Parts: sequence; structure tokens; C-alpha cells
Amino acid sequence: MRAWLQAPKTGQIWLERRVAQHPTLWRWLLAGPLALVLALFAMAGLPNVLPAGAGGVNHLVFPVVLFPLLWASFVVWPVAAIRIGRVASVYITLFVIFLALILWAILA
Amino acid sequence: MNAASHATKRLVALHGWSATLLAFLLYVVMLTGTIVVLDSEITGWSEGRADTAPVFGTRTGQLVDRFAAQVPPELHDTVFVGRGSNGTLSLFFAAPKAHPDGGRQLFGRGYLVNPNTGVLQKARVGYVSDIFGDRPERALSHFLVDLHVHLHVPGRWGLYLTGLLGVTMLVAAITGVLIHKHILRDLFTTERPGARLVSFRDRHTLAGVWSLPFAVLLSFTGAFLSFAISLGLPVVALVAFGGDQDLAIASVLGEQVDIDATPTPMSDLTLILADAETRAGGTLTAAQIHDYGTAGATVRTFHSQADGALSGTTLEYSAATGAFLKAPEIVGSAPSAGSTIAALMAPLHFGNFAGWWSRIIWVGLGGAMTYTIVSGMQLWLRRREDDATWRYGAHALSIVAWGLPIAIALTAHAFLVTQLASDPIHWTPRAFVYSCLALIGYGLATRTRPRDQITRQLGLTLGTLLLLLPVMRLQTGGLSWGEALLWGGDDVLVLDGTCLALGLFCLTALRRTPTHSPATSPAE
Repeated sequence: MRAWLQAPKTGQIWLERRVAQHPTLWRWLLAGPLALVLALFAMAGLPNVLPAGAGGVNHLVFPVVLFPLLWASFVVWPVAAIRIGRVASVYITLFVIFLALILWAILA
Repeated sequence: MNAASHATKRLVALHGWSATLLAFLLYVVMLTGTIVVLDSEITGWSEGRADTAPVFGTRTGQLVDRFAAQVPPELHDTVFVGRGSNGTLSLFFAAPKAHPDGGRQLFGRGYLVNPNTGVLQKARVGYVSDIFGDRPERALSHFLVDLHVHLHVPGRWGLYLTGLLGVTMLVAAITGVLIHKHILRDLFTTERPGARLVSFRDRHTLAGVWSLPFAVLLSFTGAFLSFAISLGLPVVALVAFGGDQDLAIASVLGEQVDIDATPTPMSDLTLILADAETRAGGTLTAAQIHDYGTAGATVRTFHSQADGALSGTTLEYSAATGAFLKAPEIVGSAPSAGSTIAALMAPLHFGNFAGWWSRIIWVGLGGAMTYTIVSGMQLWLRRREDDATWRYGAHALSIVAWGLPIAIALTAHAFLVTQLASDPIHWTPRAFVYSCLALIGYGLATRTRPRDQITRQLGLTLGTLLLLLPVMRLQTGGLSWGEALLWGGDDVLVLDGTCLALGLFCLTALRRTPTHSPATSPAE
């Protein structure tokens, strides 16, 4: 409990410290379900911010083309990374951004 | 052990497990993918005809008009014109209709007509999948393509599964790059003797490193092709088009939504097709008319690759005036980076962009990738051979690795025999299932036998079946080699030659193999 209250010593944010306590569990979560969810959310959210281009389809085609690459990359990174807490921070940030883009598109 | 070593250890585990969990399915997709690179050649070989006389001629427009006058006007929504069985002209008049399996599909009337005399040879009513699936000479190639594309799993689930396999392969390829610190040196690895664990690793490394760029390319393009329609389109439609998939498709394809439906006589289709063939530079393979009989009707013509082109050409004409409108992009309303990338996916996956040369390279590298999967599994199982459960895994690998090509060869034999009874569409998939069941039974009956003996028996069976395949084709009315030489039946010569070479290789390699050595048993 004390560790939770301590100020970050090496620039680690709260989430990174929390994740570092159960690294194996977090690697499974990040490389497994969260990797798929992030890739799906990226495919659904990116059409709202990418430029449509001359043919009017770039914003629709690129997320679909990138989907397999993003999914594979989201699987490999948590496994290869040494600081799993940083990966978790990035994933959760991306999750929030993509979710916001999707909600924005649906509500608009 | 420091943090970097732990990371490498985790990557090695991910590399192994990613392929192991779906190894058998991955092997099925890779082996069938290697074979269906020669899809059109297999169709030509199956058809046993060198007669490639064009079906589009001076009477095409007249025949379309004649049959259009006989069908209900609502079936003028979409008209397909193409090559049918036995050199006939295929006409299909259709409109979208709810399909019993879900979704909407074109439903209408299909006709097979003699292109020169105009005599009707066959008429059918049904969905587009039933009408175009009714091609007995394509039963074998369609079966193999279906097995590769969705493993015969119905609906979208098959595409999800093969998409997942593509991503799995991509993960294995990326982790393979990360764990190999000396990739350039590994390109020239020589196998260490003695059939030891390191010898297996050397073989796996050599095949894997050489096929690595190809593995990334094929798994990426394959996953895209599986997911694009099954998952990408619904997701994009849900978010960007309020769930309207038809509108999403129309937007992605750059189709015009509002059509001028004023009844108008059609321009001469024969002249349009002749102009299209000159303009495209490639052979006309099919045409599609939208909203036949209206002022807004369009004709899309589809052509094979022109010299130097990566893929085929599509042209669009006004069916009412006969004027050339545009060369539509594969997606979008104008040339763009998105349409260029989308257009590159299929040729890069199928390897059909440079004739025989690209196909031969794709078959070779596909074979190397298939071997990488099998050798990777061998390596995985050799490391765990002290465990009884994994020993059964090794036995199962032998049965699957040899059994799949045997089942495919038996299916090809069954296809040739049932073609005589004009029922290969019904029997070809069943022959595969029965062959698989027989091989599973063999695997269960031989689970205590030495693997060398099983490998030898299965290898000799495969070699014999491959050697007999050209004989069976000739005995069931196929084109002779002399006729093929005279009339340009390259498909027959190449595939017969390949079957004979592979059959002889299996027989001679396994005859020379000492029974005590596991080093040359490919499926061990």
C-alpha cells in the first residue's frame, strides 16, 4: 500500500507501477484481448480522422488495410517490451482516443 | 538473466506457440494456397480442352437482347455475360433478393447458349452462387480455392478463421525476425549432420529465413483479403455509414446511386465489347450490364492483364449511347493511394502478375513456407519428445503432413472419375472428407507403430497416387499429350509433368531412406 502512495521515483506514472506488480497477467491481457480490441477500434475510428483523398476512399481503405498489421504489432509489442507499464499506458491512451472517435462518429 | 534475455525468451515462446496453436490449419491453408496459385491451370487441366475459341462474337449483343426480352423486367437490374461450360456463352439476368442463409444475393435466370448458333443449351433459375457454382469442370479448382479461402467453414466464420491464421503467420514472421540476430548469416546455414535437434533447427531456419519476406507479404495480403469484406466493411459501414452496408459498398466502389430509369433502347453491345477489347489491350473475360433498358444503363467490361500490367483492366461504357465513360478504379471514384493499394493486394497474394514466372516463384516460396511450418512443428515436438502427450502430437503431425496431400490427390482422382458421371460438384468435396476419415482411421490404427514406417508408407502412397493422376486423366477422356502439344494445352503438360516429377521424387527419396534414420522423414 505504501508503494501506491509513494511519489514516482523514475518518472513512472501510477498505471505503470500498478501494471509492474503483475507483469505476466498484463502481458497476456495486452497481447491478447486488448490487442484485438485496439485493432478493431482503430479500424472503426480512423476513418473519421484520415483524409478521404482524391477518390474519396483513402480514409476507408487505409484502416482496413492496416488492420492485420496493427493487430500483429499490438500482439508482439507487449511481449517484446521490457517496460510493460509503458505499453499499458500507450494502449489505454489509444483505446480512449479510438473510442472517442467512434462515439463522435456515431453521435454526429 | 537480464531483462533483454527475458524479452527474447518471451518472443521465442510467442513465435513457437503462435504457430503451434493453429499449426494444422495453417498447414492446410499454406499447402492449398501453394496449389491454388495454379488455379486457372488446374481448371484448364480439369477441363481437358485446348479449345479456347472466344465466346464473345458478332452475335453477343443480339443474344443478350433476345434473352432480355424473355425475362421479367425486374431482372434487368444486373446482367452478367461470360464464358460458360463447354465453350458456351453464359447469360445471367438478376436482381438482389434475400438469401435463406442471410444477407442479400443476386437471384435470377441463367442461360447457357451456343455463341455461334444461339441455340439454348441449358437454363436455370437460382441465386448467383448456385448458377455460377454449377460448373462441373471447375469442381476441383473451386474445391481447393474454397478450402484455402475459408476452410469450408460456412458464412463469414471461415473468412474470420483464415484471417486469424494470416495474423498468426504475421506474428510468427515478425517474432522470427526479432529473435534471429544474424538473419544474413542464417541465409547460408548448412545443416549439421546426425539428425540432431540442431539439424532440424538448421533446416527450419534456412527455409524460414529465405521465405521470410514472402511470409510477411502473403500473411498480410491474405489477412487483408479475408477481413476486408467479412469484418472491415461491416465495421466501417457501422461507424461511417450508420450501419448501411449497401451505401458503404456503393461509396467504396464509387458507384452512382441515382440512375436515370427512363426506358431507352440499348446500344449494340457487340460494338461496345469490340471497342473495349481494343482499348484495354487484354482479352475480354466477362461483361456486366447494370439497369439494362434504361437511359442510365452502364456496361462494365473485364479484361485479362495487358502486357506489362500487374492486374486486369475494367472499363465502363454507357449502354444507352455506347460511349466510353471511364476505367473505374477498384475502389473510389478517382485514382488514389487507397485504390492503388487495394488493387495491389490480390496480384501480390495470388502471384498472377507476370505469367508463368511469377506463378513458379510463388509456388516455390509457398512450398518453402509450407515446409517451414512443418519443420517448425517438428522442432517444437522434438524438444518435447520426452512427454507422452507431445509424442502423440508428433504422430498426428506425420499423419496430417502426409495425409493432406494424399487426400487432395485422392480427391483429384475422384473428381476425374465422377466427371464421367457428370457429378463432380457433388462428389469432389465428399471424396476429400472420406479420404480424411480414412487417413484419421489409419492414424489411429498405427499410433503405436514407428514413425519411420508410417512416413514411408504414406510417402509411397502419395508418390503412387501422383504418378497415377495423369494416367487417370487420360483414361477418363482428358487431352492427350500430343493433342496438348499441337493445340496449346500448356496447362495439361505442366500439371502432368509436375505430378510425375513429384511422384517420382516421393518414390525415389523414400526408397533411398534408411528406415532407422529420421533425418529425411519430412513429416516426422
